[in-house]
Amino acid sequence: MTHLQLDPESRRDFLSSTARAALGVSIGGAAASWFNSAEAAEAIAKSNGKAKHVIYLYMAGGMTHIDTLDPKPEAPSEYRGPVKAISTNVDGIQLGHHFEKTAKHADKMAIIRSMNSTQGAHAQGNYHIHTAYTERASLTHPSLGSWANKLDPARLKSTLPPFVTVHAGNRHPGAGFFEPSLAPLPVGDAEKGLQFAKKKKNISEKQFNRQIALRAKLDTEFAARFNKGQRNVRAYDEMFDAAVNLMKSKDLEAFDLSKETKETHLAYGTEKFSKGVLLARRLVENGVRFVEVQYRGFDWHSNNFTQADEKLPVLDQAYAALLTDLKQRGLLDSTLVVIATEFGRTPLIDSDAGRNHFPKAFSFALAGAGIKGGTVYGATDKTASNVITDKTSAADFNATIAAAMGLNHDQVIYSPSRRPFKMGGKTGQPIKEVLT
Amino acid sequence: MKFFLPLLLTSLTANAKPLSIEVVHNTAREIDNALVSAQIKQKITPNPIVDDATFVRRAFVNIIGRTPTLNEAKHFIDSKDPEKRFKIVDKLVQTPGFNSQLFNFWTDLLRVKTRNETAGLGWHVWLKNAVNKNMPYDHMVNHMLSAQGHVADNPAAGYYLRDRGMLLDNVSNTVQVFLGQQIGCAQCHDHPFDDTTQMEYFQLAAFLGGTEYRFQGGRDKIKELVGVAPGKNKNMMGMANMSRKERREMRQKMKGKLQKARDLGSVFRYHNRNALYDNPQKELKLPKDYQYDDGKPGENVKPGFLFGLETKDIPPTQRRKYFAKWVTSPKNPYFTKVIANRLWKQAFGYGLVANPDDWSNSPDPLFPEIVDLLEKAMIAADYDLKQYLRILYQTKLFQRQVTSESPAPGFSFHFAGPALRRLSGPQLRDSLITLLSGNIDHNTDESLQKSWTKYVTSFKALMKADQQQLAAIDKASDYSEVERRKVQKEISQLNTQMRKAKGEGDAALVKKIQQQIRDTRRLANQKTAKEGKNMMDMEANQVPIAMMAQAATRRRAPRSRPDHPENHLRTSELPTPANSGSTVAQFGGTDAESPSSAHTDASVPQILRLLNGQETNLLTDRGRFANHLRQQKTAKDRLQFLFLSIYATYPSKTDQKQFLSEVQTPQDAATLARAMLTSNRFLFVQ
Repeated sequence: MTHLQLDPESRRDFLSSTARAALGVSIGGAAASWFNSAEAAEAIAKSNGKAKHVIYLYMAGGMTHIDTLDPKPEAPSEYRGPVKAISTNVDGIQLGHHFEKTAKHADKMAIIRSMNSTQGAHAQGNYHIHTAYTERASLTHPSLGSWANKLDPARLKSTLPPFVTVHAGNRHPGAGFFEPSLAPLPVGDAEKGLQFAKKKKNISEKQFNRQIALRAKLDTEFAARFNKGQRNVRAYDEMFDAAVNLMKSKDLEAFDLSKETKETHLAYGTEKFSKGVLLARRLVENGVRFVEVQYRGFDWHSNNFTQADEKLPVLDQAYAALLTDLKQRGLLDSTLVVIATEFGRTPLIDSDAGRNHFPKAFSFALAGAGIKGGTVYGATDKTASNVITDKTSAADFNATIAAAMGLNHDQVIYSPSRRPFKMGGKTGQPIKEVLT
Repeated sequence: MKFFLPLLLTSLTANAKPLSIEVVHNTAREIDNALVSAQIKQKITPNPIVDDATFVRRAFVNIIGRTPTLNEAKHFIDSKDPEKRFKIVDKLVQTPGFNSQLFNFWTDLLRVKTRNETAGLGWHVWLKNAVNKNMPYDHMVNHMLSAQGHVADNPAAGYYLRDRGMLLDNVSNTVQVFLGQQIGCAQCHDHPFDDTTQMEYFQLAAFLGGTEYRFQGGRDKIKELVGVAPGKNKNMMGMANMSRKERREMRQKMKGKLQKARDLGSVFRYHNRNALYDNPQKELKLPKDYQYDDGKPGENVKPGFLFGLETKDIPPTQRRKYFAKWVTSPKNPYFTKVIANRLWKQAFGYGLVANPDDWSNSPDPLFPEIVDLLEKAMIAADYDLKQYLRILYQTKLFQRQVTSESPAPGFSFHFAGPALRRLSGPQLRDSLITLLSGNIDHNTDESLQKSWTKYVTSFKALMKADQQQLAAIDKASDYSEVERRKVQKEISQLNTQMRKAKGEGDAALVKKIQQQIRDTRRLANQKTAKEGKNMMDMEANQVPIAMMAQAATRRRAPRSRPDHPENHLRTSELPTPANSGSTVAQFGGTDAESPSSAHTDASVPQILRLLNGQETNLLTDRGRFANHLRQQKTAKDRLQFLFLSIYATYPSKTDQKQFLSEVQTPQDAATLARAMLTSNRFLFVQ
């Protein structure tokens, strides 16, 4: 056979890259012609990509909105419960009384009180918020952190991974259909940091290099048979190289919380989540682009208020400490801090003093780089039960994050099956009111 | 060839006995034949049969959840018995490793949390026994879905108590896990893609409309002893029918008794977390924001089944029994097929219906006739999962080469061969430990079982106590509760100090505080035991019983041995889910948050652990494996030892040519071993 024949895989690559070139979607930089609205283009141009980093705090289980970011002091007590609204350092913005420390940072925050989705189950809600798409059997959509690094592949610091998750559950969509190198590096326990990153002392450099060469040799036959058709096999090769590179990194101390002072530790708090937030700051400081820290256990179907008393002060302390710390280190101008969750909770308290899943209305918060502080966007009715102005979808929210990072939320990336996807979902538009 | 159905149907009467070899082989052949003829029609060529080495590794990993030891691999490969493949399958399904593998399957699917209250422990132990006894699947599910009362009496109630306070979520999960349908969306609105409406969802959930999380047995006992039950007594002594004055007098009269009931009732303070009660008066209500025309917000909902199955008048006390019966009925269009498909995926790496958790949104299966056949086989095997899996493992398909391309998501798989799979979290950990220690399948950790048995014994003693004993137990338990809180406070202060010390990197201080914590706990236990004993105002020979009963008034934290490779225990012997940061968790073992959350995705920390972690160091430096490697005399011996142990194969000619020169010294061989542990050839199962 003399003529050139493309195997299906490279043919697919070829087609999609031609498609991309034809649409002009794989070229970097900002070009107004990409945007489907002049307004969005303006928003992105305005934000000027201030956010080099994102710290994404995710409250797993569905954080109650009426007790936190969207308090309703005037609502009847069967909605409001014992939670009081407190003033913040911005006139007219109130928060639930657990957010005492956060209240001193309202001038840095934009609160979105009009989040709305149709995904009322945990797994689906979690997926939707992370990806701006609804779950499908045919493919996994990439999560925000992977999108950010896909759209701007230039690493801020080459030796650390660009996307790290801390305390994330198994169901994280990760890199979705993107290449495995865009998958997050998961840290299971912030206090332990990145384990086993150091070679054993009694193994010489030479031995170690020999070991690496031997692995490739051992897998020659296996690779010939499976590398082309099995994504997960390729992923292990990529992860192996990444791991070996990471071991050589001079920045590994970024993962080591013991380098922080006693005072800093105490400022963030003593819980597992507090340590995760502190780790996020260290990582960002060392050039990681996107860090997601999860705080689990917000699914308060019963005893909502006892659980609120336990958990919300932990979030309050760590969040406020993070903003203070970033500010002091001059990192707040380049770091966007997000509070997100899969859905809100039913404003009407049920018989077990609980609140149930409520995707109809919930609240998120943005703070720091690229964000107009002291803003509230959107509103719910008197009982926080319905969004009455500026309904915001997960897609809009993610598009806003993209804009704050100077990324084009509307840039199309094709899945291996050649379907078009965007960081801002199908229809997401950045909220220009909260961007600087 | 004999016919498939008549043979199988005869087994219907022979309950819980293994199927005869003929039945198993004929059924397996039936499946193979049906599959191959369907594949021929669709122009799919089945893959060739694998060699012995590939087969033995695949069989061990699939059937018993770990790679074979050197001797197991060698013995199989060397054997000249033409029947050896059939024999090894039949042998492996009878070993404890089979139960281990199946138990891990359940903990992932059912989201078992061993440390979640006492109910979590009881359910874990119950499930483990159910697997070990090979309880038929329909019985097992029926037990869980109809379970009532206290976990100490019926640990299967742990299935509901896992989701205490989240009944609607529990219903969604039940339908997903056992019936393969995602109806969760209909909790808030009509399902956008499926046919389930919000009304249908609530009608189904209405079967659980009377279910409350409380311990009625405790209330009944107090009532029996004191005359009134603790807490609210709306219709106490027929008060509803009395005049105001009569009621006041009655209340006055009962005041002392009520006080007493409340006092004594506190011995059951933790029991409401561990019991279910079906309140016949209670019905499920539509949500306040119900928006469709077929019902009014807040209105009571009558139970109704999905899939158009009729409901007759259902007695309110029997609602959950009917629900369990409907789910597990062979007539339910999904119950049998869903488990048949889930286990097919266990055996071959992919479902015939591509997404076992979401049948409605899976592409049409390429081989619907096989799905029907499996349903029949499952019913004929009387839901004996071991026999069903045995049939699948005896198919030709199980002997075929894996496909070089992975199944395309969103499409039905062609099953020219099984799918290539990475070792699961538990399989990987257990394989490493087996390398380190040899066959550990028979080792059991009795501590969970013991902890549970002790609890049940003390619970029974508590329920037998008379009024005087109960009063003594109450006094002692109130005292110990106060003490417990005090100690808890002390310990949490110490913990804060320790975190601080950790933050400052003061290892000596950390150690010191850890010792302090242990001492505080030990002293407190001694003190409460001693004081509690003194409070037991009764005959000396009664005291130990009362002390034992008192144990049931406390919260129980299951003790178990920590997960350490030198513990020589399979993952299935440990509490679940595995701690974050452990080998199992890092390699994608279940997090028990949502059904089937386990995954096999790659990550950097996994590789770091294989490169530099504890298991690898134990294997190549100082463990039993390292010693055996050192004892090998020649390079050839070393290479053979490593290949048989880690890859379950003799080194091929090419392997010898490539690697003999790499194992000239034991130290070089150790380097090769380390390389092998990170290789895809080890991590994946062909």
